Amino acid sequence: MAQTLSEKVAAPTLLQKVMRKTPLDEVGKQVGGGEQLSRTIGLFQLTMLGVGCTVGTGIFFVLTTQVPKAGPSIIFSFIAAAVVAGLTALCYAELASSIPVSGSSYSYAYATLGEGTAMIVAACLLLEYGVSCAAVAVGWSQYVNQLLHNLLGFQIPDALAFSPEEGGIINVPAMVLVLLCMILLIRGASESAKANAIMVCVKLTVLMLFVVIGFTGWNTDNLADFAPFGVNGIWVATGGIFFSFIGLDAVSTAGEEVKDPQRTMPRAIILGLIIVSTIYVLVAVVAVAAQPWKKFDGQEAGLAQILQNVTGSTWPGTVIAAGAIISIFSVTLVTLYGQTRILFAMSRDGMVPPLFHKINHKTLTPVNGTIVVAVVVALLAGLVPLSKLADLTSIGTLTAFSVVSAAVMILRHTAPDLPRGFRVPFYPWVPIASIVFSVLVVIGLPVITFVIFGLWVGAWLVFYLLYGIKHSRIGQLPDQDAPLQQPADRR
Amino acid sequence: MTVLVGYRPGARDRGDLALAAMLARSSGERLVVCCVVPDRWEMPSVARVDGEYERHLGGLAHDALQDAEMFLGGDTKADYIVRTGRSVPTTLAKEAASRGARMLVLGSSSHGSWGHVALGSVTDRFLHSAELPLALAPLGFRAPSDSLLHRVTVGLDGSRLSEAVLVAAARMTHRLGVDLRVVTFAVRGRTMYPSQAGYNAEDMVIQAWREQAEAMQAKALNWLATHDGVSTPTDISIVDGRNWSDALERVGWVEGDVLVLGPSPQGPLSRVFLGSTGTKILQNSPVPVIVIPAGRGGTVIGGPSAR
Repeated sequence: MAQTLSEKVAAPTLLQKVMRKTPLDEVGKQVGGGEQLSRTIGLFQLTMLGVGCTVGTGIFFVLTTQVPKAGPSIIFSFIAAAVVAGLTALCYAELASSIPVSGSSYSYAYATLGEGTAMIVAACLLLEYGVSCAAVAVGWSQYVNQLLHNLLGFQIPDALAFSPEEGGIINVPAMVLVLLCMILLIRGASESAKANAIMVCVKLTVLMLFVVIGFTGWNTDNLADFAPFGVNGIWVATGGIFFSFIGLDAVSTAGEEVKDPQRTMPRAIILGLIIVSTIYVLVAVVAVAAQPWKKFDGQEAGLAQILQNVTGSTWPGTVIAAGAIISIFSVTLVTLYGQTRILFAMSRDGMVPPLFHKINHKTLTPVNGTIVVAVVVALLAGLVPLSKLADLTSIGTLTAFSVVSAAVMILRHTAPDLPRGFRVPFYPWVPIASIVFSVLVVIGLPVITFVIFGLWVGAWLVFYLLYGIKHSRIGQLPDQDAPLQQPADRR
Repeated sequence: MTVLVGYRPGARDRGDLALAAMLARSSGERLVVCCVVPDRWEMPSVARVDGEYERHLGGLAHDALQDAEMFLGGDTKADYIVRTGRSVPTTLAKEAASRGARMLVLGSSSHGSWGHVALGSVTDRFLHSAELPLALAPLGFRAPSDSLLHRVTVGLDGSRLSEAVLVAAARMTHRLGVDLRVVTFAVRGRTMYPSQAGYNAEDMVIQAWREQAEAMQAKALNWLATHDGVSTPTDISIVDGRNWSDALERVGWVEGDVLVLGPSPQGPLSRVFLGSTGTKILQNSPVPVIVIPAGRGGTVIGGPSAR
């Protein structure tokens, strides 16, 4: 039946706007379109990317906040978190390989699930990267203080080294770290693949040093009260611990550059997960065996303190602190970078103001966006305590991962013939298990975390309805309701 | 009005002479080759060694100028002068001012890489203080004895000063009757490893810059069109590469090309003050580079009156 003119030009409904998706050819244009990345990343390098991005986000300080919730049974929390992280990373890998360009889960959600869902994922990612960046900066300040104390015999005064809730006024070292990373990013600094491999070695060496020296202080009595809060304790701590597994998705986003992704991708994810989980579990076992679980609460620069207590000497703590300072610096740089580029993508899509994708003609980097992100992260790092930041990061990440897992199933249904570089094994059980476990872990987080998260996502959706929905770049394209199509020239 | 070239005794590279001759031929300006030697001590030595040294330096300068004359050949009319002074840049600047020179031409340091502009102490000083346009020859630059300026490429970076330099260059090309090309250079940021925002995030950034640069170029060209006595660019492009060298190579160059750059906004308006990005472009340019002070909206070379 022929359409009338009025039907052709009718304005889209709210639901149509919320469901509009990025056409695949538009995704290509946004990144230059023409040149495709060469497939150069092999199994070793891909595994190093996953390990490099994951180790350092939380292990250096997560024990301090989570062991008091679970006691020595924290070991099982690590294993549970690893399983959830592995399932979601596999789902992430399939979604990433379905879209012709690499990007964040925001880009994937926009191309597959629609604009409204992409905004929810974006809100989660801002928590994942922005808040985790602040969290690691707070952890960094603890190790800086420890190193200063061990080497020079003085510490930054509490008023300038802790957030108000922890008895200080402002956490200056954490803010300085974020601002230093901001300057580096403005100047166009980046971490090369080789530098990442070196950082991985530094991190693993430091953690293995902790395991070896900490093992000398093994006291089985410390494990006697193994699960003081039972299964509930393990469950609650898993949510907080999940924070230390953030970053494994960096493996999945490399899809376009990976050699033989169908084989390499799952192997790298599993291998990376095994390396990270083994290290984490070893660190956790040694830590809870070296000191009574009740002593973890409020302990600053936890790993360094434990070694100093075990050996009665400061040098192991100094080495651990120095290693932590170097590795956390690199993690902060990478995380802050991720945050600026996700906002950059959102800004190009019209979801946030153009400020975030304006390039400075001198540095050729998004200077304004980088400054805004860094100032907000620095304020969070300076004023909010570590435990609250970690929980918020976990809830954001787990929600984003659940959406990604759901997207895998939706896309298999709506675009079954879409070429996929990688397909999750045991479909649909893997994505279903990923969603179920993610939800279970999220439920264990404190109520206040849910309240803040709800307010945050709500605020983003209100912002979307007031701003993004009107400025959407896709909304201004002539045929933005086109379904996800199979590109003719996909490899 | 003149094109002044600073030529030092013992110089092995004659790129500065070749460039200066080409510019003078193309513009009809008088060419002056100036050799600066150190001044004698104020306190005369009893043994007259200072006089002896002065005569030695004078001899070196004389030889250098003879060498320059031989290189340029009889077809190129030039004045050959020797000046003494405690500082080469100060003496050259004074000479340029006294003659009302329209351009100062200098060569590259012999420590640089072949085919690229390499900064020495004198060029570096002028790049941060010259009051007149400065032309720098790549190391080993050569041009046939009858070669003329063929095309001027202006590097536009989006700053207001580079727009002013575009106008100055467009006036120069209009008077000389040569092509004008406008290029905006960019370097793609290095990929971050690991990246949680994808491994081609920097492609997205460079693509955004290209769109921004297109708008900036359109604005600059609209502004250029409001001026009289300027030529219209024959080619406008945005070129990016993995690094500055790659970006400069991708533009495509032919014999008789020169690249014109503007100064950094951080410097004084009336002088050349090349910023860090400008210095990187200059050092990777395979063709001679002319740096123009932003305050010089008028004649560079080839016009009836400079001041």
